[in-house]
Amino acid sequence: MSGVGALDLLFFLAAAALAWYLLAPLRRRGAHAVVAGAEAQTRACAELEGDQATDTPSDADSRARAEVEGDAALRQRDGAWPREEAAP
Amino acid sequence: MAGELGRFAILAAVVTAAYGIAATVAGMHRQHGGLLEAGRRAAVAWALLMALAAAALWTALVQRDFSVRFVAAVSETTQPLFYTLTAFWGGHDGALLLWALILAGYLVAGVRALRAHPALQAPATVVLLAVALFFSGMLAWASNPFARLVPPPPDGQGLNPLLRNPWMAAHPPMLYLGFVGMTVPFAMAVAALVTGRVDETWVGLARRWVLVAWIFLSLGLLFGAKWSYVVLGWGGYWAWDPVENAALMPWLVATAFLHSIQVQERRGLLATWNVALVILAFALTLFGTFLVRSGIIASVHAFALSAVGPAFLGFLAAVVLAGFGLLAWRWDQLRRPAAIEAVVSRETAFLANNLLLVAATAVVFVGTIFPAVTEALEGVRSTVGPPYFNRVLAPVTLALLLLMGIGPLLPWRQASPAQLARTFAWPAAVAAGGGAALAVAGVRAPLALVVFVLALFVLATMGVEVVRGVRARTARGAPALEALVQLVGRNRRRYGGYTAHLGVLLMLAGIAGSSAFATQRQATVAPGERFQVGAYVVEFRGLAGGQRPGIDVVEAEVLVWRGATALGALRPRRLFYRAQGQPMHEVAIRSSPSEDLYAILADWTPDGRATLRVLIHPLVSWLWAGGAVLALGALLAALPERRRQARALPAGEPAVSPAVGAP
Repeated sequence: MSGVGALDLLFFLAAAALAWYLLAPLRRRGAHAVVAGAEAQTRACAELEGDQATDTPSDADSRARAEVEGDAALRQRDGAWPREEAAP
Repeated sequence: MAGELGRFAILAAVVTAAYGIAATVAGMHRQHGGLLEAGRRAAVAWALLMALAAAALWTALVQRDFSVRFVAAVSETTQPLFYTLTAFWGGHDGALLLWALILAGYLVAGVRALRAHPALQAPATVVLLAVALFFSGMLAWASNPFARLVPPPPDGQGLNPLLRNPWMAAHPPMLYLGFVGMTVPFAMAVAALVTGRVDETWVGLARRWVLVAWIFLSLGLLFGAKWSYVVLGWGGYWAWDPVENAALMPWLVATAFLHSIQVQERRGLLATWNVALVILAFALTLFGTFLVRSGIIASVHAFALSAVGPAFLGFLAAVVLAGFGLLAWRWDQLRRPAAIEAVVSRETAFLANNLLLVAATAVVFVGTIFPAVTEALEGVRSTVGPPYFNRVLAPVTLALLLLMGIGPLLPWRQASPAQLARTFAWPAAVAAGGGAALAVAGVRAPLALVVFVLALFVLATMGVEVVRGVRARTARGAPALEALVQLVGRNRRRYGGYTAHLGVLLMLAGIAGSSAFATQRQATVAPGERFQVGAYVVEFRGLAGGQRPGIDVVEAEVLVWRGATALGALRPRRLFYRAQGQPMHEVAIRSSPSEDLYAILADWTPDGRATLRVLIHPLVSWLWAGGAVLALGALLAALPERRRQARALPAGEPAVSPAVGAP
């Protein structure tokens, strides 16, 4: 086999492997269920972990500091959260 | 073989990206999990194919396969292995492949990061794959790094000598890690707009990605400045060159975003603004690459002739139109009922900071494209130099510096005069005292003095914060050091931010010091002659010749004295790269925390006399140290927060202070 022929064969095999990898999910049975499953997983994750977007640790830290410190000024500054958020 | 493999990988990547986009769009439309999975697999496969293409190019470089045109252009047989490897991004085609290689990593990581948010994941995958398709398409047809040269030359032209420096070896990867990193938050923003999920979820997800990209961009800018300082031999580190500006603009916009998201997270404000900033930051990374790669900087005619320029401009236009079009579409949904309640509040400070940063970006943008616009319209290239940028941006920088001190200590919603007086009394006193001391010590340059005074003010505000926090913990019996570590560890985001601000202070002090108080002297001297520069005496000892592989070297030996103390020898050199016929400076620097002594061998005569240029740059090392502190601070802020159990407030204690409480 010539060098060019071997290279062609190699590329053909690589392309075939790539196509197999990319097309495999389409042949899987019950693929439609994946979306619903993933949505459920998301909800579970969100419940377990809380949402990153609402994670404002600086507020939590400020509150904790204000408590620990008993510093009225600091509490006044950093304690200005909306009432519903500040409630335990 | 490596060339064919690389070419195959790039062509296969184009097909893979197109397939991935089609599969994901169809999957979203038909709610078909298999199609969505196929899209995700396409992302992984595209990344692997780009890694294969990159490995092929590195192999061709190491094998010195000069039949590959790119290899012949950027390497030669005498080139050291290190610079043969870094030659990968020493030319246009390789630099685009580096972009694609980095995108490969971000693509896989970005898709994976969104696995818990499938509603966002699918559209974000489409966006990421669309960017991947564009870059692999460019590599396939407009900028092929594996194009052949027939017949192959016996030796290559070699890497541009200016690029044979460790700082320049690291500069492009850092910059591209920053540029390309903006693709992921952009994809998240577009996904949020497409799906209508424009709540705070995407902002929370995007923050860390922007922060990571921002760290790399900061380091890229810093490495570029350092390279300019040690290699170009002009004594400066920033020239407002279009290439530098191209990297600065997305950095400024990303900096604005990192501040404004706090307002959205905290108060639900600026939701529209934040989406706009992310779109703008990504568009500016594309604009920067377009600026550097299209040839438009050299001439609009070079741009018109290149295949890369128009393609980039088209893609940039598509990104801007699609991004801002989607933003307009979701405008009503992004509007929030909340509003800024008082002029003196933390959100106002952040808003002002954002407006200033975006204004600075606009100033840099206008100054950067001005030459190309005038050339296109009038046929004459008019340039705006450093005076334009310095004059316009100096007041903006000072205002930002002031806000850096005020913003973090202001309360949300509104502040009372008594609160302001209590919070800022100490920092203002420190700044005033420090300013008076500096004036008495002889600091007369007004701009530098204002920078130092404001820097002291910001430093004092941060000091007050840290002391308060530490005191709160030591009051409960913790040793001071442990209290400090706890304080920072428990709130990495806040103290990471303060550390990054400290880095900015050091950098600005370095810039102010080295700009306002630099001195220099040039003299032509015979061996044994001396001349004075500032507090130093420089003695020229003589010239020596030498050789390195492919390079002829001329070296001057210079002894440096301060008073009666000999501080040691400096050896500035001129290097002549034989293959390229190009001379280069190799400056000699004696660095200390207070100042740099910077020596350049400008010229010499056959009778052994040398023309030496010696500069003194006060505080320039603060710039580099500040950059490192800035990156470390941002890294600290990027680390995940420790999750803690919420603690209930003691019974009877008011949740909100009545003085500044929410309505």
